[in-house]
Amino acid sequence: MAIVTNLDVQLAKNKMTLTELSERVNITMANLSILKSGKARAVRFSTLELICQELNCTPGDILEFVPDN
Amino acid sequence: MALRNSQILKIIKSIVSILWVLQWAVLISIIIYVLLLILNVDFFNVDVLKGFKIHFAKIDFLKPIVIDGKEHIVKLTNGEGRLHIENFNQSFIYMRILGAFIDSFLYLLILYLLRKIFKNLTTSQFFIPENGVLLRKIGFTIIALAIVPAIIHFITDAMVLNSLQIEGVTFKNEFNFDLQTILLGILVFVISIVFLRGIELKKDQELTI
Repeated sequence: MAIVTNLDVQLAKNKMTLTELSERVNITMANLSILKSGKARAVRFSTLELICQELNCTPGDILEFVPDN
Repeated sequence: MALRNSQILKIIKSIVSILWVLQWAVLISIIIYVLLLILNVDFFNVDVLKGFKIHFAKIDFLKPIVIDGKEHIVKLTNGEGRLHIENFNQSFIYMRILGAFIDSFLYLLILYLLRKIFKNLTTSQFFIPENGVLLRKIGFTIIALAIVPAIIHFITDAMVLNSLQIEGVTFKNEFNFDLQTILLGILVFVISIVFLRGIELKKDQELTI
C-alpha cells in the first residue's frame, strides 16, 4: 500500500494508548485499529482533524506516502 | 415489509426446489430414453419416440385430394412436424439427444447456482462476493442455453436433411437461436458486475474511518 499510517509513532510521542485516543476523539477502537494497522481505505477529514487535535500533530505526521517500488 | 419479503423468498425457494427435482427427472428420462434406443427393447414401442423434428418449406401432395366430392391439388407450406421413416438409420437421433441432454443440463446448472444463492440468502448473507460470482455464472449459462442447443440442432438438421430426398417435400434448415434469452443472459451478467462493484464500494465504506 502506498499510503502508510504512523499513528503508533504519534501515540508513543504523546505517551497515549489507542484506548485513550479512542475515548478522547469518540471513535471506536475497532476503527482506530483498522487505521493503525493500515487496512483503512479512506479517512474522513473530520476524523483526521480530531486525531491531529488530540495528538498535536499535522496530517503529514500521521499519513506518509511510500512508493510501491 | 421485511416479513413479506422473507415469505416471498421462501415461496420462490420452494418453487426452485420443485423445478430442481423436475429437471433431474427430465435428465434421467433422457438417459433412460437413450438406453431404450440402444437396447431396442420389445416391450416398449420405441418406434413411437423415433423420428425427428423438421421444418419444411413445402409439402406437395402427389395425388389430388378429394374435398367435398371434388379433386383439388393440395400442398402444405412453412410448417414443422415430426418425421418418422420406418427402417431408417436413426443414428442421427443420438446427436439430437445430445442437444436435449445439454439443454437439460444447462437448466439444471442454473437451478443449482440459484439454489446456492438462496442458501446464502436464508443465512442472511446477501451482499457477499459469492452471490455476485454465482449471478455471473448464471448469466453465462443462460447465454449458453440460447446458443449451444441451437447450434447442435442446426448441425444435426444439416447432416440429415442434406442427404434426405423425399419426393414432394422441400425441407428448410433454420438457425433459430433465442435472442430474448441471450439478452436476458447479458442482463444477468451486467447485474452481476454491478453487484460485485457494489460490494467493493461497501467494503470501501466500511473501511473508511
